[in-house]
Amino acid sequence: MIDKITKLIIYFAYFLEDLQRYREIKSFFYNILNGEKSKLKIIFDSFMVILVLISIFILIYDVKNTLNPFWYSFENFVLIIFLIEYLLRLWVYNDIRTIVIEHNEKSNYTNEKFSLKELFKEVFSKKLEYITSPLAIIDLLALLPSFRGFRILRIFLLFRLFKLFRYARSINEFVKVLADKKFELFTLTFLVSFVVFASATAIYIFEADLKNSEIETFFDAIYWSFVTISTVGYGDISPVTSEGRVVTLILIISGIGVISFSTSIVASAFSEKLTELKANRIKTEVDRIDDFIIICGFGKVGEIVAQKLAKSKDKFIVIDKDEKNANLAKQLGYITIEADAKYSDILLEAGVGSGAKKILCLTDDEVSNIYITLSAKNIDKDIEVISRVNKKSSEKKFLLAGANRVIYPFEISALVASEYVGEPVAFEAIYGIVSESKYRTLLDDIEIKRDSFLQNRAIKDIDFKYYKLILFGVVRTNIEGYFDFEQSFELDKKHFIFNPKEDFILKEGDFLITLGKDVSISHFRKEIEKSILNV
Amino acid sequence: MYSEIIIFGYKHLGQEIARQLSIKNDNFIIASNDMVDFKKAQKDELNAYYLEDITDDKELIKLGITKNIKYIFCVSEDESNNIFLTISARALDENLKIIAEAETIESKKKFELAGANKVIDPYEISANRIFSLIKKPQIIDILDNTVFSKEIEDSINLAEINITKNSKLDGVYLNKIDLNSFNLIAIGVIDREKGEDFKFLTDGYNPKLDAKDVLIVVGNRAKIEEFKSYVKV
Repeated sequence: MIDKITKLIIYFAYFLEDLQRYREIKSFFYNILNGEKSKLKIIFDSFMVILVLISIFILIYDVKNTLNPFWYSFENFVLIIFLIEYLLRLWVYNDIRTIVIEHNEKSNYTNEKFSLKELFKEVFSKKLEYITSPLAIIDLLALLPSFRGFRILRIFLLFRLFKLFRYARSINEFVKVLADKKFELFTLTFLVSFVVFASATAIYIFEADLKNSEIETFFDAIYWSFVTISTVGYGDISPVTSEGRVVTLILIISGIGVISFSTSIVASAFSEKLTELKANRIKTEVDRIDDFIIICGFGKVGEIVAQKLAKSKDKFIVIDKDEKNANLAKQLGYITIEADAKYSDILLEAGVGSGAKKILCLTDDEVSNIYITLSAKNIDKDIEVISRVNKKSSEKKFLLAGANRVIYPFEISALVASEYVGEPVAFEAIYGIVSESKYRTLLDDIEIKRDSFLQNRAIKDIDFKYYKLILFGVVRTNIEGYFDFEQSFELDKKHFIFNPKEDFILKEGDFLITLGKDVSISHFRKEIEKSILNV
Repeated sequence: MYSEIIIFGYKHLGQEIARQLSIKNDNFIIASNDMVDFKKAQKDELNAYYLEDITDDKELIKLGITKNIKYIFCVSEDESNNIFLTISARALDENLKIIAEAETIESKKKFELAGANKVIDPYEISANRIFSLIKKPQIIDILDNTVFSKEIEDSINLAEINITKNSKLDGVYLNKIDLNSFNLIAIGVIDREKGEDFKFLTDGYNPKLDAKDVLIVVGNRAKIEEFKSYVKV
């Protein structure tokens, strides 16, 4: 019988392991509940915060008033949601099936008998690990106040408030900061307890037996001593004898010390942690975005690139080890990490291997650039690295290090400059195209999309003049069959056909290379999009 | 050796300009007041001169300014030296073409005030290029393989056609010129009737070409030469 159950459990574990759908569902819920990067988590968290706040409000209102029955059912609904959440969290905390599989493989390997007892022990201890975690306990206790009838359970309403910790990162960080000052806080608590206890004892001895004194019990003494040391001083209990007043004077002086000590602990804890908190926030920001670009080095080139990326609404982050540069980037409102990008952990933190798709190595120092290139490629071989080269001769080294593209800042500039000798007007045209600023005229590629009005059209049937564009050429990926285009150049699996003939038919996936003002090009793009929608 | 060009400064941009000019077979002189630069230029077997004192006009005249020199590139590391040289050279020769390297927009204005004809900002150009590499890598590929590939024979180039008096293009409207049979595209023009400025032809403007106008065409280098000789006859 036990053998059969064991077999069934093992079989079921493997069955789940193979079931793609099951794993997908589980990871979906994991993302909602714990996925740091998931957008769903943000929505879920906000939803839960609203539920918690409404339910707290209902419960508070309920203390002295009678509620509309609707709100009772709403309260039940909230309870069910919390219960489901609790169970889901318990479920996604770990995978039982992997424990089963591990046990099975271990027993197969060592020829030991598969022990159900051991298995249950491990499964149970794992789940218990979750159940006894502080947040899970809060979750469980937060369920309690919904059970009407037990008035005492209402106090667990507070736990529902604590539940908010789960959904708000900043509260968590606050707690963490204080937790780091455990030693100081402990010392303070010890000191305060000692002073409170000593002065309570003294006042009790002096005044408890007097008729006109308000101190009746030792608790009164403790209460009075605490109210005094905290400098709150209600005045409901005050000393009546000279001895009692002397105790009060001492207590007041030590009270000032206690207040300043505790304030300074909290304040210093935060100021120490401020930079770390900021770094954490950057990390969260980085985690939340996807498909972004990392700019290493915020010098002149980096700054212009960042400015252009910001303008085109591309997501990017800046890394610079120089404080001045980093501050400038921060002032401009960019996500900035002030650190040396050479180190792998900085790159990891910046999102190499997770959300970053491109990295630009633009520092002044060639050695740093090559190092960043290598580190980035080492973490994520698919990341696109564009690196700045200061010496033409180093280009090869960068390509060896894995850079996808290199930029040699002076080559194009020199080319443009030397064009000025002999052909100054051609210089003007080239400079206009490469700098894009003065004339706002640029070369751009426009894709021929499926069902757009350009698909299967001949060049002569497109009125480029009307769109205020000049056709430069066409890029085509697949040119099988015919290759009689007069001016065609191979570029990395694609072909660029310069000035195609009038009867050249455009196909889906081609790119038009056109010269025009930025506004004309974006207008033409819009027309293409419109024509697709109209089909 | 007779030359029309001085490159002042032999650092990054200077070296690269020297390389580009060598490809075009233009003769040039390297001038520098920096010993390291000067030695480097000598090592590269270039025509190098050491300038003792750039404030001394006599030295500049000795290099050929006011005589055979038509172009000067002020591209040394030190921007104040570049500015000074720009002013001195402009004072000596009104017709000299001065091209200077500026590192910021502010210095660009200073160079223009000092009398430079063209100011180049290598940082802006490379930043643009990086941005284009991110947004439209295909365009960079095309530019690199065509307009910027002076070293490849038979490539697509950008060239200017100077309209001379009584040439075939004198007094002709642009749309009456059969550029297509040469497989050329006209992209820009200086139309002196409308002003001295260069204009791109993207807005469908149809200029009437006259003597002294300049037309910018793009096309195969051989075809451009063919077109030039066709125009002359």
